[in-house]
Amino acid sequence: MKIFNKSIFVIAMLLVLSCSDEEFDEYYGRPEDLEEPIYQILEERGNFTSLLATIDKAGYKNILGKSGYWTMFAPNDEAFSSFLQNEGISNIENIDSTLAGKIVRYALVYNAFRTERLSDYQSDTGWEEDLAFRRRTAYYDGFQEEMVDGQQRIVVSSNRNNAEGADYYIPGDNNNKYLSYFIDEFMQAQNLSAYDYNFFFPEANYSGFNLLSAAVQTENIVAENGIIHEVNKVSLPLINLDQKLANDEHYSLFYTILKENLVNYVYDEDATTAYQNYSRNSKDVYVKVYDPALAFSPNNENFLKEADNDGQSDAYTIFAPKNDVLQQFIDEVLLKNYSSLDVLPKYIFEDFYNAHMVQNAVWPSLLAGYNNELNEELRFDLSTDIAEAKVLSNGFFYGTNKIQESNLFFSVYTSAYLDPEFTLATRLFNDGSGYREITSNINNRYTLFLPSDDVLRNLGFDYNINRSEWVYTSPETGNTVVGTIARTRLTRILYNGIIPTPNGELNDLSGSGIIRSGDLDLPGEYIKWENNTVYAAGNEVIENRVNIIGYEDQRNGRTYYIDNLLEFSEEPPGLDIQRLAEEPESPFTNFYNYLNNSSLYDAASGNIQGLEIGTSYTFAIPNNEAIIQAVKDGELPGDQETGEPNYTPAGQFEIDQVTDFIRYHILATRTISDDGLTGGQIETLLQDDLGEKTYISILNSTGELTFIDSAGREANYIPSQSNNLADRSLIHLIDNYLLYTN
Amino acid sequence: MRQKFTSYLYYLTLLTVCLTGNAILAQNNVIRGTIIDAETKDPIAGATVIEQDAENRTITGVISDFDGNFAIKIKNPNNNLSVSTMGYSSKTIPLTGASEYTIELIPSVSDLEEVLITAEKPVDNGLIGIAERNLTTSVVTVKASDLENTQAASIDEALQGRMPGVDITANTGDPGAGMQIRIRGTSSINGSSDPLVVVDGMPYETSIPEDFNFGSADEQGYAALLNIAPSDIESISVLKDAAATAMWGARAASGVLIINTKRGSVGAPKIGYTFIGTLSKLPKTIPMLNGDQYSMLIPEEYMNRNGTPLNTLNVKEFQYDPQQVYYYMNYGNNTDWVDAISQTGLTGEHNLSLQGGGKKARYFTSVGYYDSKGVTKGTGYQRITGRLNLDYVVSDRIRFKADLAYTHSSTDRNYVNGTGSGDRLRSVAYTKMPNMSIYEYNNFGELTPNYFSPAQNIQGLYPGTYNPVAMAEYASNIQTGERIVPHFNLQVDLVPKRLVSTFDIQFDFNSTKAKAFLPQNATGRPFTETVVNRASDSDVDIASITSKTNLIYTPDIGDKHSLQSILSLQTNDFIYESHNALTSNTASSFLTDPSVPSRTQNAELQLYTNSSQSRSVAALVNTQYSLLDRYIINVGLRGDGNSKFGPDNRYALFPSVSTRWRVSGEPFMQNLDWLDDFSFRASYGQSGRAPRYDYRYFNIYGNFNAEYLGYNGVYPQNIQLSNLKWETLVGKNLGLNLRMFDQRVTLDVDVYQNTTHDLIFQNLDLTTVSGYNQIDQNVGVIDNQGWEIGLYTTPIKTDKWKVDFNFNISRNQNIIREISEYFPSESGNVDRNGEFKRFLQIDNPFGSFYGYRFKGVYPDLESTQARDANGDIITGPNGQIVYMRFNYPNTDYVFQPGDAIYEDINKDGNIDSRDVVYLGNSNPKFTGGFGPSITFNNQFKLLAFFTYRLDYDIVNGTDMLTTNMYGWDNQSTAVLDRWRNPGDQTNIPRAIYQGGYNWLGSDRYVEDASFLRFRSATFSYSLPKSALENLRLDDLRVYVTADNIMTFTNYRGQDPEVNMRGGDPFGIAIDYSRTPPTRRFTLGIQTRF
Repeated sequence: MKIFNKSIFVIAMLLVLSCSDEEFDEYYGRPEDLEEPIYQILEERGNFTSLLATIDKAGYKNILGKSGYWTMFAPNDEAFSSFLQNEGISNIENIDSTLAGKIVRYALVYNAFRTERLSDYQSDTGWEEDLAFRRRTAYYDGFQEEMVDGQQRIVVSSNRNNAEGADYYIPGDNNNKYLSYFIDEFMQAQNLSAYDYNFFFPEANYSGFNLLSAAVQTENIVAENGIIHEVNKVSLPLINLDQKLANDEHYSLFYTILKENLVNYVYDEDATTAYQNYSRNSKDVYVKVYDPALAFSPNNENFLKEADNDGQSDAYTIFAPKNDVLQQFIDEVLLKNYSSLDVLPKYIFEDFYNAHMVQNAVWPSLLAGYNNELNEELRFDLSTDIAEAKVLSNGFFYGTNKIQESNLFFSVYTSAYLDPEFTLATRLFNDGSGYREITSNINNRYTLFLPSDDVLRNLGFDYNINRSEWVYTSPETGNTVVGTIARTRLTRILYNGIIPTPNGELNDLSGSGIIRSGDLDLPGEYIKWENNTVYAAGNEVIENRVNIIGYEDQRNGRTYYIDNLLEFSEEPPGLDIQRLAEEPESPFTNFYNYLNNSSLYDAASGNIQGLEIGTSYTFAIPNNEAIIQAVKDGELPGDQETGEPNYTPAGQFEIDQVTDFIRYHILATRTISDDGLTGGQIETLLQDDLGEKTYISILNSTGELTFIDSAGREANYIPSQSNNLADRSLIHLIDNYLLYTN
Repeated sequence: MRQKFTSYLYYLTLLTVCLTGNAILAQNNVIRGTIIDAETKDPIAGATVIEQDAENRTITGVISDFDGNFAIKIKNPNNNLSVSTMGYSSKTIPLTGASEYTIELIPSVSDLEEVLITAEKPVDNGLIGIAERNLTTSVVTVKASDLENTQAASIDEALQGRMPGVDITANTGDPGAGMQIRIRGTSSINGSSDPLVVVDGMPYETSIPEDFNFGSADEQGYAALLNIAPSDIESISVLKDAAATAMWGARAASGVLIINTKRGSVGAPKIGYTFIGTLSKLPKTIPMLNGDQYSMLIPEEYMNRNGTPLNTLNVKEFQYDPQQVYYYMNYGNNTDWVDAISQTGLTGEHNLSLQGGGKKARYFTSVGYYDSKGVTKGTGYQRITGRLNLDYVVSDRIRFKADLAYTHSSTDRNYVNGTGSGDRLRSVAYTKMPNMSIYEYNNFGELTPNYFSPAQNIQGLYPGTYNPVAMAEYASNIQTGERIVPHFNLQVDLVPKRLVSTFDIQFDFNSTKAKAFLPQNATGRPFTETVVNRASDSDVDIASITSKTNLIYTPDIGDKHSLQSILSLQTNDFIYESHNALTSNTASSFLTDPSVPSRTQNAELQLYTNSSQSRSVAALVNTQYSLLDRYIINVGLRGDGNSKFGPDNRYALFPSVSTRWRVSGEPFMQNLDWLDDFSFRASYGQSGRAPRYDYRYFNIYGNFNAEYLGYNGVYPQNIQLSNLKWETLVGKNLGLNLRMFDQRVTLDVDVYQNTTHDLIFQNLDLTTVSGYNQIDQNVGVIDNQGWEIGLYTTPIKTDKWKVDFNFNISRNQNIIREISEYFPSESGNVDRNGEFKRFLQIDNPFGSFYGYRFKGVYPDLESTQARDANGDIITGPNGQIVYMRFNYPNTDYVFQPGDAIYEDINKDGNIDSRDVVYLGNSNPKFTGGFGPSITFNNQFKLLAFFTYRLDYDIVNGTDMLTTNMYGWDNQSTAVLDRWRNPGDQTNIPRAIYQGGYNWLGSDRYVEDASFLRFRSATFSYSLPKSALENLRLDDLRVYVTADNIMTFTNYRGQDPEVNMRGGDPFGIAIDYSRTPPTRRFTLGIQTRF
């Protein structure tokens, strides 16, 4: 019964305490300390009356007064009064809704950010601290009317960078403009300073939190639907790089050439639908598309879009030369060999503009750290060459008094590149051979032997544009090969004409000499010059020479125009040895006889077993005395007493002795001359009993070449009889034999 | 077995016929006469004149002509002549051998007057009638008159809270939805814990077959099964203790609900008419964020995750850019989805009955029409019921009854309200993004009449989310039921008053059809998917035949002794057939039937049929012996046989014994005049429960869906359960009954313990070495124990005033005593949001849960520094400050400003399982109800009824889900107070999309849900006699009722009445309801003429 009484009591208490409604309301009611939305907060603070009027005009009262999640950079009344003064508007009420919309929407950033987060980059994996100086705003230009080919058209910017196989226009992406700000946290983390800020905004003071030229006066005003930062200047939406170029007459030449050669207007179905829905207008919409070869599309407000918000941490840069310097460059360089800009190949424009574009935001103080799209350093002096620097909506803009002196326009490569007579050579240089990168490298000096299109065509080379393939028809046999085979052939030939000459070694060709072509990393073959002619191994075989018919000096060397090609040899090196041995009183005879009688050698074809055509070798051939010494030493079959060689031994041991001997004197994989370029341990064709490679050491300096075998025995080359050209090989005569010992 | 049993039936029937068919001698003797009015002496036309034998059996009969004359050819001159007609008292005269009679009939005016009969409440356990004062078991009875004022659509709803130990809770608020009835707790884990329902002495099938859930819910189906019109009900009794239920044997282990319908009575025909009209309204629900507030929350929540913001290209739902007309218009709204799918519910019920009869034949017939529209759009319930209860007295020794009940019902439900998931429509409406428009704006920003059903948006796609209004309107889910239950009863007094035999047979044909259709415009999905134009048609046909044969022997063994014995033979045959067709992608949204060409081959689509049959037989012997009216003992033995078991375990015996000692009958208490009755009762009984599903003792072979070389393989699907046994409930009950002051105070107290042995567990995980994953086993012992008190008082009783006050209170605990080793010992992961830890503790009540202690929200970075027991900041080896972290080293989440603070119990700077503490228990200490009823002048009556539950903890799951700010779901306005900026002092943590640990199971969500609910109040007025006579009415009563008027509770959720999932050792009470019970106002009119 006690329980019973107790429960009656509890029930009674419950009746009394029927306060559930109150508690319910308190829990679910609006908290008293919850801030009002942005609009109301602005009203409350009192010094935003002009902004509020602007918001009303822009139709954002309803949005900012209750919904969304924003950061608002709110210009205060002082900011507006100076803005109105500058714009010549007497009263805030006279502001039209379009302008009001621009002001409000460009002051609105999606999502709320407190100051400490504004400097952080919102990567796809989360916050990355102190990497951001930009945010996407609610403003975008959308559809614009533009004169295109004499017609008024509705044009929309591309919202992605154009690239082969990629979309330059994504429906639904409005190409929202970005807003830049300069916050200490970011600036310090990036080693930037007031210098950088003032480079763009020389009139403004760097305060540690600037929004463009404005300074933030009150940070982090909390509202229910976001955060407000009070600023002291009104910012109109910034133009983008494309708009800057199009509208600034100082750069009209730069823009005109760009527009005429690298811009297309492409009809877009999705954009048209969106436009027609929005405007109830039946016009078609064209997307302004930049050439896919360009580093970026200057009208694309988004950054690379490798991550959704990568535009927060980086932007584009264009260095635009003013009209006069550009005109001078056109006259002096571009049109040196061409008649007019109209006939320039498109790739020249692509290269020219890429030379002035950087896929990064180039901060002035860090200029040296950036490369342009051609991967060259930026060749501007900030103190003298920059006429104007601007922060724009999608990047930095530098107006310059100088063009970017790109390698392509000032190197031996230029001789081919900017001359219509050398299109075949240029094409080969450009099409992935890597020769363009070698020859245009302004930091290394080269001598280029450049055949004109006529020379190449006469010798059977051509490019079939329709089939996009190289063609070679042998002048001797009339046989035609196409595609890779033809291209490889020409590649090899043209490589013979690219000579690194750091000291201008080939500026005087009146004497004679031998020199290695190609570049240091990927050596080419050796060529020889004599009496103002040059020749390579192949020229020896077909017994011709290459004559110089003119030259041009560039910043990294000299280009010789030639009337013939530096051919490579298609003969096996064995034939070259045979030829050397067959000369009267040849010191190569003894070695050759051993070779000729050994099973390694096929005298009919000249093939030596284990050697492949087109591969680098060096032949160190002991002279006849050295061979006799080897016989005496019992290292080769023959009469040990007299040293009379026995070229046709019967015993297997002796046969093996001969083959091993020969193999040990052929150095695989390298072509070595007495130019000091190649030395060290070089492998031979010989393998030891265990199948391991064997080596010979090379001591090499200009005019000296010594071979040291595994036992430390030395053999020196005999200069007068050495440096004989063969297929990717050199044949040297040495004064001692080399011996492999375990 | 079947043949054997059928032949028993034949013998029995034959026996009955032989005993009653007396040989009759024929004689030729014509008698004539005139019938006149005793007062006016006018002849009476149309009177019935019958010849009756000594047992009042009708031999022959005629009708008097216009002049009151009649001529009857009598069979036996020793018989009586009985005359009866409307408006006169019947008269029986013995035949004196004369051939001419003048019979005067007296007009009967008094028939219209109310006759008050005072007698002891008769209690019928469905087998034998024993006066309540002699009951040895725990039984509660509620008379229909006590319930008539509530506007309940079903019995269960009306009974809610009125009986101690009977726990009835609503599943959903939709019309036609069922309720869960638990008598003395859940005594089975997997078996049905629904009580056996016995209507007019015959078991009434309410179990749900295994596969009856395609596109419809089993609980819903259950409701449809219990569809007897409440106005047809005379009384309801609940048998609670095992000794009582043992008489009903298997299926009665969870208690027995005995329903007796109204029957005809001697008198002139009475027409009764009842009208009940109800208005249901949704009360104030949890306020959710509007579209604007939601648009502030979601971008913040998403960015809080790791800093990555919503992608402005792909996610236009929160851009609020007026130039993007389509998105701005469609996603710039403030839509109250809950309101949009809600409506005012209206219910109308008409019931017309005709009741009357003479000495020979009595009838009760009724037709009812019930039409209800739910508070959720697209829900409704319609029912037409018809009932005819006929009693015919063939003679004093032979009576028969023929009852016929027919119910047609149609339930409109929302398509998505399928099995288990409850009210999906409403929960989707709650979580639906409120900035979305109901109707779509086109690209020009013009509102169209089409529902805005995008195929997908940031919240996801069907079935996760959809436009609930479109779903409510376009998708259909209609369940129609036809049920006819003919019941025939024959009673023969073999030896008058000593040996009575009854024979009952009941046929039950129950056909249910569920048709559902999901059109494209409800989901918005593309036409290639199978959730488009998905049509289903399910048909379930149940036919059961139940028979019962009783022999009741009541010998006269003197005044001091009384004895009553019964032998009962019962059979049941249950045939179940179902088919289901589910297809998709019909060619048009107007082709809603799966029979039209449509797609069937996908795995989730199906063509399915099932059929099964089960039988049970039972024999019962029960004897009640009373000595000196003081010492009463009842002994019973029941044998059950059920086809669901293998041959070894098919039959089982269940004994019961119960006693009553009437202390007040002892001489030493005789002089206490005020004491009417004071008795102690004790009982012990067993009853068995069969598994729910058929054919488990067979090894069933199934075939693979895939074929190989043109053949399908077959494989054994299950382990052959040949040893599966009856689940046996052993019940013990101690009780006392107290009746005082001329029955004005009645107190019933019971203490009980129900132990279920050989608990059947379904789908216990099994090592797969056996070739099977799961097995059903008899393992475990579960206890339900508790006590109940019922107090019924009449404090005031004068000529004008009568005040009753009833009160009941009870407590039940569910305890596991033994369990299978395969059963897991704990549940819940404390390193995951939203989970509470539960342990299986043998010999402890279910329902305890454990979690963290919530201490608010870290306001700033400094506050997240870890501190040791002395309050000093914990530093690392290099002197660096250590910040509070979660579950180091596994999860190793470092708490951020704005995160929830959990108490670091062990002061190690790390919140993990070692900081988990006991949080509460979901077992209510007390439950019950009470209420007064006040009558004035027999004309005005005020009834009030309260229910309550005291001292139990529930998890406010709604609060958890509406403040977790973890996904795209809309949240309650409580999250307006969330932490947003450093320094904010609040108790609502910051929003983090799919991240953080802000809603771990903690006491933040645990609340004491004790409540007192003003369940209903009725005020009724009966017209005074004078007015009635003017209106020529017998009775006219008008009443108004309000339901769910008010709930007094400190609980912050919507409805504190939350159940612990019964029988689950890990079940705790979690409240996910977002809608409180609907508030209803009813107007009722009852009349009789």
